[in-house]
Amino acid sequence: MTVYTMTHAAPPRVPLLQDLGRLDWDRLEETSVIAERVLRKFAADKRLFNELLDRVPSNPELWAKCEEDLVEDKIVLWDDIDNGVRIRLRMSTAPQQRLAHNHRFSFSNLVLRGSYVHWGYVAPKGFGKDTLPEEVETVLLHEDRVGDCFTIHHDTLHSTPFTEVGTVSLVLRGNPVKRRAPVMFKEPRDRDDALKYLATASQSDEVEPAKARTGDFFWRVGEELESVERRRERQMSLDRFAYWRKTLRDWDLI
Amino acid sequence: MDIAGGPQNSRDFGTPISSPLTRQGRNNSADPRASDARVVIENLDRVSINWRDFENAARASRELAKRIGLDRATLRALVYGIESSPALLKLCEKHQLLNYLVLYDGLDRGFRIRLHVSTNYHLDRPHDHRFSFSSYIVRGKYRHTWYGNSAALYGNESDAVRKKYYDQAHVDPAGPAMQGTFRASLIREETEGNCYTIHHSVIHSTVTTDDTVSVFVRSPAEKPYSVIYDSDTARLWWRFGRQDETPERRQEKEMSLNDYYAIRDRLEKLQVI
Repeated sequence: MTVYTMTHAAPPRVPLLQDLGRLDWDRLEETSVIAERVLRKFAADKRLFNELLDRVPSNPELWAKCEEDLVEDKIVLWDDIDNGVRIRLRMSTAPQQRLAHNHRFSFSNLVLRGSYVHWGYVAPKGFGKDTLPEEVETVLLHEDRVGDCFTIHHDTLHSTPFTEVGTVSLVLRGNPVKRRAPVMFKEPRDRDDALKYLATASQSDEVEPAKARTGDFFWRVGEELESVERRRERQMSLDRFAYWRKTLRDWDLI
Repeated sequence: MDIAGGPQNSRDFGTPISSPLTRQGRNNSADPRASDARVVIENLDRVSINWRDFENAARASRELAKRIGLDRATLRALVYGIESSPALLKLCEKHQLLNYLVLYDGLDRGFRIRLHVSTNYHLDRPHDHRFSFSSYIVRGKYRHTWYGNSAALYGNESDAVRKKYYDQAHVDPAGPAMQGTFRASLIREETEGNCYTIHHSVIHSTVTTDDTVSVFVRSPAEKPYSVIYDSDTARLWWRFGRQDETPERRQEKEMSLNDYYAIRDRLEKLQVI
């Protein structure tokens, strides 16, 4: 078994990412071309992928951003605020519901495993906690498959419910441009183990609830705005990381 | 199965395919499934799609687009069927960026099936449609950009005024003011095998590559005209249904039997049919 230590390892030299320069996410058309190329090269370079993944637990800044959430886990592989580049993996751990939402940042997403329907919405009257679910209209449905890559503006309302457990995406995101991002349940969530999360869910509208009705609303905030307790609650364990490292290898993704 | 106008969308539009339609299967020119193709086409007469329920209609129309797009024998039979159907040929159209064949017309039951074939002109032209539709990409690829909703573009101008601005030689003076107003919401490369549905209110653009072929399943018209904008020249014009077009405009896009033969030959060379 691999033993991970929290010593700060020197970052590897990664020309693919370090020579990118600053990505201008306000110029989405141009940046989408660059981001897609980087994601595809990164996903195809298993040596680099493995090297960066293996270094995550020993890099305190990256490790602190790796999360176990209600329906998916995240591993942050690279974070370069100066150039507006964060690369992370998103792995579904439970069937996900449709949550209409936008983001704190623009990003590109490459599907590595699984498929799902990608929903696009418009909310002509605006989108906030008083918005009714029927005021969020579905206008786009795309069947996203392995190898598909999309780039999305942070204001775009969408949902990418990973309905199959084990769906994996590689994400390249820009820096956040807003403090928090709104989320609305377009269908209910009622997990068997909801009760154990209900105590935290009822405390704040900035925590994703484990149980929800259609129309329920919450905000997603950046990790820097979360309490120490909340971060601790979401922090990925080393066991879980080891599980993903093995599983991603078993799936031949790394 | 729901026939014409019922509240449910019918999703059972053909007999089960006996074997997986792999690419190898599609290339089988001996056409052993000609009788299967006849059954699938006959079954289309029993399909209806209710777009008042957009999300279910989206799913049903995507399944229909994929069913036809993955079944080379049926696609071939539908393309060849146009030759002996003046009614379908009359609905086929030629345009600068794409030509399309109308493979099947069930608009009274909520759908029309077209086959889009891109030309070798590839321009960035954000536009919406008079109808909602699903598309399945049989071959080729294009850069697909969603710009959000078109509501703001329509403004208060009367339909009668807009009818004067019906093609790129007769453009709406509002065009230049639109420069820079189209902001990309979602961008992706659509490739062979991709399938999606778009509501008629969505502004999008599809910058194609040569000979991109898609099966396109459209709804009945939801509005009298749609908008199109040429990003390079800031020209804006409106597209109408044929019932609202001048004879000159109709003639411009009309497809002759010879045009049809040329497209059919091209589809054969591309091994799409």
